[in-house]
Amino acid sequence: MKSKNRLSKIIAFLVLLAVVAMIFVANTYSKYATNASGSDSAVVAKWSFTVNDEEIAVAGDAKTIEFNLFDTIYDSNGEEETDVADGVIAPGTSGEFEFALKNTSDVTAQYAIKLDVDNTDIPLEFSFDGEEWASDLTNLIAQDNLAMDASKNVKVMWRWAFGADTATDISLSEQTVNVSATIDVIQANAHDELRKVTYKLFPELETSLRETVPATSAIQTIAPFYYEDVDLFENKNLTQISMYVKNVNYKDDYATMKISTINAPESFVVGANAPTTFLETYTIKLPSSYFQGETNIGRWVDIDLTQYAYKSDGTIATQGIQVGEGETLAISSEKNDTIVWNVDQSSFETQPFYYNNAGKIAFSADSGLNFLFEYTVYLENTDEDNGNTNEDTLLNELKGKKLSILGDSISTYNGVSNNATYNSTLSGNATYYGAVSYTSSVSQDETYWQQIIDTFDMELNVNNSWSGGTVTGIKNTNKAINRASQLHNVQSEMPDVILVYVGINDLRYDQTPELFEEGYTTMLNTIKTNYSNAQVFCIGMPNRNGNDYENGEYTDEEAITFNTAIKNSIEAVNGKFYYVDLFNSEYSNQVYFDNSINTGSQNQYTNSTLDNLHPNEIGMDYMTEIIIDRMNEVLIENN
Amino acid sequence: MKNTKTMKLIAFALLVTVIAIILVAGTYAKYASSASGSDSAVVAKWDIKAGPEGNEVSITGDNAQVAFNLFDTILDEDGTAETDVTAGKIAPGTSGAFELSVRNDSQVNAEYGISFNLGETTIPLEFRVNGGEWASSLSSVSTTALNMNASSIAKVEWRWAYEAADVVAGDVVDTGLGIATPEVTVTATLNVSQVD
Repeated sequence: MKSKNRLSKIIAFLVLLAVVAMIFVANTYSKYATNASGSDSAVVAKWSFTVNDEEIAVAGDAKTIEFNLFDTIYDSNGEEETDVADGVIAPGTSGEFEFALKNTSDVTAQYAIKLDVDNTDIPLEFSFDGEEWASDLTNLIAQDNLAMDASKNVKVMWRWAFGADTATDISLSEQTVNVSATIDVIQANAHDELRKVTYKLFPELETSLRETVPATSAIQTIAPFYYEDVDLFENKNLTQISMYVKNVNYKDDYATMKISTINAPESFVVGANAPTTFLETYTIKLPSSYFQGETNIGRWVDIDLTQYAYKSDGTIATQGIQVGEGETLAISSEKNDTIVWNVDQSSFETQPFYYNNAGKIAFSADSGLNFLFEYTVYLENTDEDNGNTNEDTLLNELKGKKLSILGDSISTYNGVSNNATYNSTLSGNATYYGAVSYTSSVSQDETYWQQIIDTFDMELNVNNSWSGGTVTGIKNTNKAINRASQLHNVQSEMPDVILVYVGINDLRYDQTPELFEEGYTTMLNTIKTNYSNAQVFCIGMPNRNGNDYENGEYTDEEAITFNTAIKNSIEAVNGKFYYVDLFNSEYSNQVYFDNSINTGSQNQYTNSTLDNLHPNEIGMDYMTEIIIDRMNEVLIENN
Repeated sequence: MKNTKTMKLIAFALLVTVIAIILVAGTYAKYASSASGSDSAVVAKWDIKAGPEGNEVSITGDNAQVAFNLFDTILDEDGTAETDVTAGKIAPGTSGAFELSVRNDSQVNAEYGISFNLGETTIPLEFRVNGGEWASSLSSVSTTALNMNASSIAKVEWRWAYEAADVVAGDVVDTGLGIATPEVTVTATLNVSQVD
């Protein structure tokens, strides 16, 4: 009986335990859960390069290689030298040494061979090809790409001309000369198939402004370049600088000035000096012959930096001034610099890099400086001849093409968008810009669309823009749905490129996103039907940064909803339509309707608009930049 | 004993009566209805698929394997085809991406998260997940809802800058790696669980 009781107790205890366990771990038992993992590995590509069968890709210091340039000394005609003692050089001798280069890496390599000579009194000349001879070794470089497993032999040749200057030759008797060769090998980036896009920061300086002499005290209180403007410089090669040069002085036969690249500060502090950590300093050196020895210049000068800018190592910046990501430019003037351009350079003598008292770099159109950039864009090889065809620029791809605009007041210009000689339907169009009733300072050349036309060297086909115009016709009957079929000119010439910037009035008049999207889709379908070959850039609604034309016109959220509608329409219509993101661009957020640099001196509006809605010439510049960037992107993608 | 016999008789009689009632019940009833009910349940399906989009395969249980082909396609840093590096190798100036698709073909809602393990590496790769900030480490994909019949894609991108921020120091590091040719392995672990 006793043992039966014990057995019962044990069973009861086990049952209890099981119940408790089930309660506590019920979740585990009752949930589905799965885990899976995957991994992938990659091996780093090998770096290996041999010179005369000797590996030079070694860790640590540079490898020393044999360079027996003077081992064999020949007569100047290349035959055995019988008139000079063994092992010494003299007028009428020559020689050579060959480097056998082999790229044994897993990557394409680029080599550059440079020479250095320690005794330039001896009139030796050097060459890598036997055709181009130089005694100044600064620009004598043998440089090329070597594909994986490829090899190449490069000769270094020297000669001492016979009988050129007997007196000098005699004075060199028993002197020693040492020639060293440096072979730099770097991994080649796949960007040798580059095309270049040139971009002028102030196109107007090419024309009208050049007729006037900029004011000598023209360091601007509102300079166009400060840290938000990094995009204007970064990742670009500055290839030309245009400046109004007052006068120059020559030192050692050169007039000089300096431009440096710096890391763009996160913020500029009013009154503070610019950063003085220079990434690279370029010296522009103009020989006196450049100005025919003149010292009073007083005119605009275009300086080709690929020819006249020198890097700190003394070599010519053949690619121009290279501005990397997050970098900007600072201009320098030291007392020794002798190119005097039209600003108050006295400040430069106390601080090497001048920022104005608003904390901004004093580069501006009015200060008499202009820059020409080359974007370097990278394209996939499409054929063997595609590489390095610099003439084949993206600019040229749109050269002479016809551009039409479908817009509202922001795109109008009196005498253009209401001029029936372009299109017979245009005559009644209400205009904003250039109209007598508005005191707009924006000239036609400063409008975003004219700047785009000028940049790409296109022609205006039709500007069908209507002040107050909407997409859908809400509160305004001049709807873009109807006007979308009137973008060809009276000669029935079709547009190649169409800019569509309309919708902001629909937004202001509280059109519903649904009807807006429906209307926008209809509009794009009309364009597609009528102008099937055109590339169409649909410009989205801007972020007005809280600066409504009239308070409460629309919120950022509403603008985003409309932009989504535009993107939906583009997708639905499925043609050559490209969205231009005005809202999320750096300029739109920070500068296009910028209220941070509102000086309040001229009006109550933001610094880049006429009325918090219509861009002034500053806002137009930013719009231009955003749209051109997008157009370039599309051109690249389509290549 | 007699009692027992009587009991047996009574029991037999009762049995006969009951059987008779059962067999002829319908006949006795003027109104008659019958009803029966039964129920059964099928357990909700749990079916999670993962892999490259369009090629997802079911992953069940723990420690399943999923394709994570992060280095399958090695591109130039600008996104175009890499022509200057041996196929399958990474080098400064290369980049790549993989989109891991997770599909919930279950009959329950689920959620998933992905953690990454980079292992020990000195290769200055940068990563970003789902368009986030570039970083030298891989941030996890935080728990994300994955409802029935829904799918989700986690995009992992990597790049090796051709030029580091500090060009000189970066070149030294890169060159050392090119000589040593180490290997990097990235492991992704996907956790999927049912949500209540």
